Amino acid sequence: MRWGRSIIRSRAGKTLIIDLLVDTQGIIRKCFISGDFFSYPETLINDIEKKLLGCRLDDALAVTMELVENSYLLGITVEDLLNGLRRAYNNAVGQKPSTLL
Amino acid sequence: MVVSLAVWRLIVNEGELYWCMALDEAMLQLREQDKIPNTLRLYRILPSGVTIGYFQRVKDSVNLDYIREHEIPLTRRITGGGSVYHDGSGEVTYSVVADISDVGEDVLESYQRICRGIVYALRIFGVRAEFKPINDVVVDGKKISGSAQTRKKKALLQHGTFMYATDLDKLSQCLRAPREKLESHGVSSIRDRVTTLSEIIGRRPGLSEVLEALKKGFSQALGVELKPSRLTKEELLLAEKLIAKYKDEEWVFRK
Repeated sequence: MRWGRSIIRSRAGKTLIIDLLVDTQGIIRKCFISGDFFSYPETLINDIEKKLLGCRLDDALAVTMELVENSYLLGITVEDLLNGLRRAYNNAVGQKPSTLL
Repeated sequence: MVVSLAVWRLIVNEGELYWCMALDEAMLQLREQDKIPNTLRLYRILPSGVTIGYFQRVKDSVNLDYIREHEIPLTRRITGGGSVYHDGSGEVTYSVVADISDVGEDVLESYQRICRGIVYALRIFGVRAEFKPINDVVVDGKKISGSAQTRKKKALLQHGTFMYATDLDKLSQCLRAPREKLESHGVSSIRDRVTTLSEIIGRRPGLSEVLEALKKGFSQALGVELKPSRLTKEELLLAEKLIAKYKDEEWVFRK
């Protein structure tokens, strides 16, 4: 199991930090989404953190997109969240940045 | 024709960090239930303390060793945004608790409307400040006030800082910002990114002078008459109950 972290500075000037603990099978075991952004309602972020547990990257991205649909993020975008997840995940599984996209 | 302004309640008080955060939450809950009127609260946090945003991780946003060593109270807010050093002798915190329809349905516009209270207050001191979306007020590019807002179905709480004479060295010792954040602001330390009214006007304004300016500023920005008032028994009791949450390590260190 390895931790992977991504730090994204959004266009609006906010910071998004994602920490993922990914096991050797590529499954997310722990997840922290943090930073100085805003989310309405706030529960969205907790919901994403919970729902990502047990997911591989593709599922994690799909679940996140689904959950953000009815919420309003301020200071970060959905794309920031997805990029952050991708980077943190790839950092955890040890892939080089060139293979991210 | 005489247009009468809506009347909001004005509360001016001070207290310890946990109580102050608990009271803001209590007010929000009771406003949501229509049990209290729209309110502007101006307060000092004594002794000085640190709050972090709802989504922040303690280890990324504050210098925990320093805070512990100096026995500075620390808690997590129910609002998003960044970490704050509340200087008991150099900062006034404001909170606006109001019906969303009275401030603005649009979140960003409501930030701007409320933050204008700070801009107008600074104007009284001859300082030209501007609202910098999403939630800052800046003077010559340096932050003098930051705000954070949370919403329930009907009511909102927005609280924020007014740094009239904050000890900025202490502030930069307490708070931590990722390198990425500082670089994007073109500065190398938090200290370079912030300022105070005292630093700008070259004298230390008195607390009563600051409070008067804030009252006028918010009254103008919100288009309301502020009527000095007292907290209700229910608010005090609810705040008392909520203190435990703000002191709880499970809450503060949940991330």
